[in-house]
Amino acid sequence: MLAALGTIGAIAIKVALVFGILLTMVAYLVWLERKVLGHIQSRRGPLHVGPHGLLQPLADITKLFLKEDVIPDGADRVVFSLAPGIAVASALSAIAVIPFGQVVSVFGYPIELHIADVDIGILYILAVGSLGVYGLILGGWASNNKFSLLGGLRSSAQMVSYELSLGLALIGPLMLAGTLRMQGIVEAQRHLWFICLQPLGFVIYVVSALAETNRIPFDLPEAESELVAGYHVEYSGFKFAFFFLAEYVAMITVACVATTLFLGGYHGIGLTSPWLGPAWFMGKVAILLFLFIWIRGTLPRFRYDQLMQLGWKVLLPLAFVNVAATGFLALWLGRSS
Amino acid sequence: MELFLFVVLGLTAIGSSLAMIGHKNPIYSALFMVVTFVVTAAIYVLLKAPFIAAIQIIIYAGAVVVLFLFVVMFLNLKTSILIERRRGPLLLAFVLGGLVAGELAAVVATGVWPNTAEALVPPGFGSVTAVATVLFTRYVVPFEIASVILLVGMVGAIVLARRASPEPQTAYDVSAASGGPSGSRAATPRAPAATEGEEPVGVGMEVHR
Repeated sequence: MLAALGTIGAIAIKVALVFGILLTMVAYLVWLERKVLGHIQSRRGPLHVGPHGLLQPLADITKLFLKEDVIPDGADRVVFSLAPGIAVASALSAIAVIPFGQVVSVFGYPIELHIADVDIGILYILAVGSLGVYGLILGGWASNNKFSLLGGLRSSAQMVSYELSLGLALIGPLMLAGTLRMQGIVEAQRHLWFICLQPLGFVIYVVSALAETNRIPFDLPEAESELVAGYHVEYSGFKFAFFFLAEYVAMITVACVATTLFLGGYHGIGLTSPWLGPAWFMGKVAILLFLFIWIRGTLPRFRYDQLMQLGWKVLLPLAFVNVAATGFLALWLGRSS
Repeated sequence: MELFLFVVLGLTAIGSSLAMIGHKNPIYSALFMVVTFVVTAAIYVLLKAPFIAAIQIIIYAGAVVVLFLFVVMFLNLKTSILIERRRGPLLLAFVLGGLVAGELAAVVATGVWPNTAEALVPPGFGSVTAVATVLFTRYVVPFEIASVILLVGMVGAIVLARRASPEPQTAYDVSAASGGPSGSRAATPRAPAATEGEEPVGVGMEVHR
């Protein structure tokens, strides 16, 4: 009984820790994005709240908390309030199966550096991720606004389309690892990261992930110049903050998945110890996040037909080719070893 | 614990499916359908079949109902259109429902009652390996036939959308700038039929109305 309570306690501490780190990361990811974009555009970004604007996230959060929460006339009040919650819940729950490191011992107790070890890890992430689209589409519909409805419809079409190539790009590493368990996939990359065997798969994954998270150049659902702000145009205050949070958590999640499946997860080059695992992991995630921001600062937005053509006529066939090639590769590797 | 979870999940599933049928607003019906799918997936997890649970959510909750919502929002369906006035289908529904209920009752009355999932299924049941082994050995022919049928459906949807096009399509006209592939205008009247494989085509359409 005491042991069971201890296990539950350990899990609760882990969950609290992971979520705390995640939410802090989101706050400073926003800061980093503004800083990097600023410097790309020859500006200096946030500067006044704290040294180099380091306390800007706190000021922003306080502002969002204190703002009035407006629900527009004619909105479907239940769904309007439910939608941001769905978006955040689906984004946050995906992080549960990500392995941040190996087993480390704390005061003599072995602690596994992940919240859950599920047999179908990667499928779980795809499943909860696919529910996130409801937040956007329902928010867009419930606002009783044409622009937001259009944004919601666009987002759902975009996410359903790019989910296909995203899922197919993930099949490559899965075939090479021979398991769906995140921990197993990382262990399979002990000697060689899968990005070396799956360069095409990695590119397809990153492009589809940008589209899944509605990032520039795929931010059609909230294209300011056409749709004002897309699906969340009627949202304000805390509910808006929820959508914002969901978007950045989703960004971190896709970076975590890419790190786990393609970049060797917590395995490092040279310096390795169980305690350094999380540092390696975070470093790789940070590089990917910087890449996402860099892309945002560099590329213009796609047009809608270009978006669909890229998804269905370029990425999807390429992903199929990649799966077939990986099949031969896996067969050959399996025979030679 | 397992029994408690099962009772809670089961009652939620029944409640949400009743709400799905009963609700007047089609959007809410679709939402209750999602709840039903998610709860059913949770029951699969209880039955030690996490793979089937994940697939259930990815395909049904993540894709199929999104398409439903899509069509409902697109056509802006009003409640009044959807109310069934004819008696025939209702009668048929009651007869079929009664038959299924009777069948279930017969199974319940004659069946043996194991308390846990372990008693029902062999170890490893519902895992990826188990499903894949059965699917690609014993049932490989039905599996391939099903995939060919799906392919036929996709090709059919594209052909239907193409035939409705009255004039040759230009690559990009002015409307493309406002968000839609120009060829899709012709496809919209048939949108429900063509959505299956080609659903993204319609999105830009709302702009032109």
